[in-house]
Amino acid sequence: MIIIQDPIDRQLAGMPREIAPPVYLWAGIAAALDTPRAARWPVALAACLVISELAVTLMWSLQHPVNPPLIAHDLMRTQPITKVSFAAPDRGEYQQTRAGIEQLFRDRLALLRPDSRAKIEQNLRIIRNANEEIRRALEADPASPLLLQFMQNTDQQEIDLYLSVVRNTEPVMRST
Amino acid sequence: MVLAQVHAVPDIAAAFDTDAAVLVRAAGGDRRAFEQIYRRHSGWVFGLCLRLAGQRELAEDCTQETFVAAWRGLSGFERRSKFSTWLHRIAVNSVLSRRRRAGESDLSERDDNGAEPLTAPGCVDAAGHVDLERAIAGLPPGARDVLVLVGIYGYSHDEAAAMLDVAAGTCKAQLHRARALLSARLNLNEKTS
Repeated sequence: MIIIQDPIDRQLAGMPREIAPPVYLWAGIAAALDTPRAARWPVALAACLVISELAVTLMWSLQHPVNPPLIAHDLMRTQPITKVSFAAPDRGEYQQTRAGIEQLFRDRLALLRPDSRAKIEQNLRIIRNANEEIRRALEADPASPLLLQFMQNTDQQEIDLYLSVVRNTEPVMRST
Repeated sequence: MVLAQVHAVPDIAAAFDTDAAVLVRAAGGDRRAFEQIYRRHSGWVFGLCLRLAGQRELAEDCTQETFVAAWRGLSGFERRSKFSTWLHRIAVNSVLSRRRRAGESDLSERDDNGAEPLTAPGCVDAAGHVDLERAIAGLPPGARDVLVLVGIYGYSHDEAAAMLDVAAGTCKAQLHRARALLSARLNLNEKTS
């Protein structure tokens, strides 16, 4: 028999572990059981590997453009993004910030040459497809912390892609 | 006087692991069998989600997501762990995933923002469990996760670390932090009440 002497441990040990869920919850679950089951996770792993390879390609193409990106004058007034942290976001602020970065990314993307734009959009599609594959793989192996980590990585890769484009298309200050 | 700190470690899996036959039937698509599993485990899963998420509506969503995911993944369950451990791991994944998607590192801020606070039915008793629930809900997420898994649900540090995808040492440090914060908050409550 274990004797619990610490008052906090005693209180924690005395807490009810079961809390009855609302009665309507099962109905919602039962309704969701008929949707099809998902693919296995090696597909998602393969997608992750593709992302890593393409991320390098993308960075190279952005940093070594055949033609410099065309920047509109109104973007000269845009504040440069120096650092974005998602480590401890406030509630709702994350989504708002992400939407803002995506919009800025879209604005900057529209100013790039068609071949550069096509390449970036292709990479974005690959990242999003990988994220979707991982999400479905998580349905098949929902207890996997590894898959959860993969999904978070692809989320971050999407944001990194936005930021790469925004940073690499910042207007250049010229001395006269 | 320094009191010895002895943690209660209830044998969760032994307390309510699911009959193999029911699992096999459910894995084969028997919804009645799966409903049996739900009836048997939903209290634990909901309690776990409620304490990790700190918010009732979110806990309902996570519980629902957990059982739907379990249904879809049941045929791949390899029995390397107890079914209950596997199910709880899904629940933890669900909460962490939603926390990430919502961009919230601190769900406990909900109380300050006017949303429904953590007041789970059945948690109010003469021992003052509501205060303890509130104090736990107010902990930083990392500390709260470990305290809930280890302190309340009796998982070992290794098991909790695997569920949370952190090192066992981090898990121990977070528990130490959680206990210190909890002590301070409960003492403060006693002084102000």
